[in-house]
Amino acid sequence: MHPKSATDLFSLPESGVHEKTLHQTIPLAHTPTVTTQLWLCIYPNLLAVDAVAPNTMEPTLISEENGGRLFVGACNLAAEKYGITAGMSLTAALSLYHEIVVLPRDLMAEQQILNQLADWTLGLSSRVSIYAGESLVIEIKGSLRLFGGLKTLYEQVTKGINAFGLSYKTSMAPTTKAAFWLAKWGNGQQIESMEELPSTLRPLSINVLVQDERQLLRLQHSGITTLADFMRLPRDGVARRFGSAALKTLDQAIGRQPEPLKWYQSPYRFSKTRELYQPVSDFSLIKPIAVALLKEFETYLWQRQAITQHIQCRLIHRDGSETVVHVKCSQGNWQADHFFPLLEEHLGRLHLSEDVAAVTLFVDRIQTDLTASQLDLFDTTVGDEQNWRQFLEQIAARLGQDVIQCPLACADYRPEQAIAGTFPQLRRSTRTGCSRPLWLLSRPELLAQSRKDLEIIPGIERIEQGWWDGDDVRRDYQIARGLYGNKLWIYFDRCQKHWFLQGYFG
Amino acid sequence: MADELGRLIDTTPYLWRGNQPLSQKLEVFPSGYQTLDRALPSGGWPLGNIVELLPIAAGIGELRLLLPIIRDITRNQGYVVIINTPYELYTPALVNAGVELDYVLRITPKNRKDAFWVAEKALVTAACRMVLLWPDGFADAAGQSKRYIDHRLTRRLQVAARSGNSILMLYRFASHGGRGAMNKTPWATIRLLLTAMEGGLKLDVEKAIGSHRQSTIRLCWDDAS
Repeated sequence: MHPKSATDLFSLPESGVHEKTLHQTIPLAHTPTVTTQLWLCIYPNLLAVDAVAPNTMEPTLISEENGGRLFVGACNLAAEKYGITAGMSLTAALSLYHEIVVLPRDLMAEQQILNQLADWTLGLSSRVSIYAGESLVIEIKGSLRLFGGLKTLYEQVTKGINAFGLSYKTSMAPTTKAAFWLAKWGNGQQIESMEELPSTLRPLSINVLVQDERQLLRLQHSGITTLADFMRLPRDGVARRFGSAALKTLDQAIGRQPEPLKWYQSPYRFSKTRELYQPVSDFSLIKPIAVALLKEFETYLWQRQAITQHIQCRLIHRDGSETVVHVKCSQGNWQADHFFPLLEEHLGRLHLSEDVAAVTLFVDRIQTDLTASQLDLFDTTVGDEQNWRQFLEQIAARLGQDVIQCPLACADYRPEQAIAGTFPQLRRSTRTGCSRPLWLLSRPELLAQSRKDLEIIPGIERIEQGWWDGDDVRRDYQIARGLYGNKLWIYFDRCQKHWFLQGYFG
Repeated sequence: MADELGRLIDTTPYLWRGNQPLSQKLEVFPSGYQTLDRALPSGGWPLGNIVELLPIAAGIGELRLLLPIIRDITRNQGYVVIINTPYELYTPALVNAGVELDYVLRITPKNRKDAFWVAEKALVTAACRMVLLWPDGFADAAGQSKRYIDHRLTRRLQVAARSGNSILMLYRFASHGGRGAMNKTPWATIRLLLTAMEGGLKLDVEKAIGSHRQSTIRLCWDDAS
């Protein structure tokens, strides 16, 4: 290799001419962009052991099979004390310490632990990904301010992972790949800037880049054992001899190319059951349990930056039957304080024939793709308007939606058609010039012909409408004065030849 | 003794001397009628209180009386909740009066208990500034309409109005065909008996905070601002 004659992969072209020639020979990856990302990688280094034998003090190893050969897939610290290392054959390991606990690998359990860990890290950031199937990468740049700096964030992480009882390593870097490499093969470096990245990655073994055994051997035979050696190679030569995959990986690690990630999303379902010490029928005893469940649910939603509009509270009876209470909101929410009054209303109206043995809170419609306004904590317009919505929801929960009517004025001359009541939706308003009563009878009342107490006030209004929709109306409206001096709105129906009372001028 | 009594009257907002103007100025909504504002000792409809309105019959202008205040509240994005009206509300008439219908909510509960419950919830809700409640007209199990209201219920509403700084307009037909005895609530700050008048409304002040005089107000619709 002649490093001087070749173009250093990691130094940017200095002169325009140089750049031009470069572009002619090999397409250089995108120039580095200023990134605002910062990735925390949590790498459970003994995941295979921790998954099958959590918190064990015994020397333990996980056996794996490759082509009929049994070897040590992973082992814990206690086993390492006997000189056992990952990769050695099982026979060799047993000869070093014959009482060692040998367990088969459990991939399912490992996945489950990673998922649990990912669930927990969603509380740190909403951008979490399970990386390479064995670690977690978490975007923390956006969360730093929330946690008040790196130090407190790290404290949180340490405290949280320790609760899982896992052995782990962490690192931090501006790209996911670099963070993962440094956590798995490095010394847990914490790097915040792109500029530091290449120099920090240089000492890493070439293994991180190339997994293919044959290629690895070829590289090693050429004297390339670290990333530093590899970086000195000319791009075009590398691409020709080893393919572009390794180059792409390296570009991603140092931030020259973006790396697509699959975000971790927890299963969209919440179901928690609490059993009562003793079956009860009294709601006051169910209440604290409902509150506890809702609080738990609130945390669950908060960690996912999610909301829901529909929760189910299932009261489970001793014989296994269920009474299900549905609580629906007109707007998504995540707060326990919002759901509880609604749930309370529903529970209060319930007539239970049997005692309740357990309570389940079940939610399967959780929204996570929120627009900013749905979760904006500092939206000042929320206060009153939200209160009002809660009020509407409470009424709907207790009395049913049909009792709520938002008056709606329709442009129709027939009085019955001009009013309409609906649950909150778009309303039109029109103005009419005629004198109209405030009260309208839901159905016109037939007036006895002999009503002497009515005094007709001169003035007549004829309405002939509705022939187009079959509801033909031909009426002569008049105003009459009643016994108490009150004004009545009456009409003479020219089809039926009768007088009717339609309303009052309230 | 006299000193203690005086102090008690001065410090308790529920007590006042009938022959003296109010020591504390009540926060009010202008009624929209200058005659009425001048005649009421509080100078308008007092916030955080119950106003009991006793119309002699339907159709004398008992709701028209409140149209200016409903208009003013709704135009300022305050909600008005109307509970258990005796008849359908003819909305074009509200629109004609300039009321923003978006801020009017009508609720038709099935029994009196629910009606009071809704009224209480509405009164404490900040967005709601006024509640109109017709507590009568619900038939009991025997099919009779009950007109007697437990004072504890109205007391609850008064507390709710106070905490929400909203007004409750309690409508009760004074005659109602003479069926069933009606009891007036002691928790009302203002109680007005409404009778018909050509081109307006006659209001007999039965009770008004800040005064013990029983005056009569003759309101002309043309006075409305």
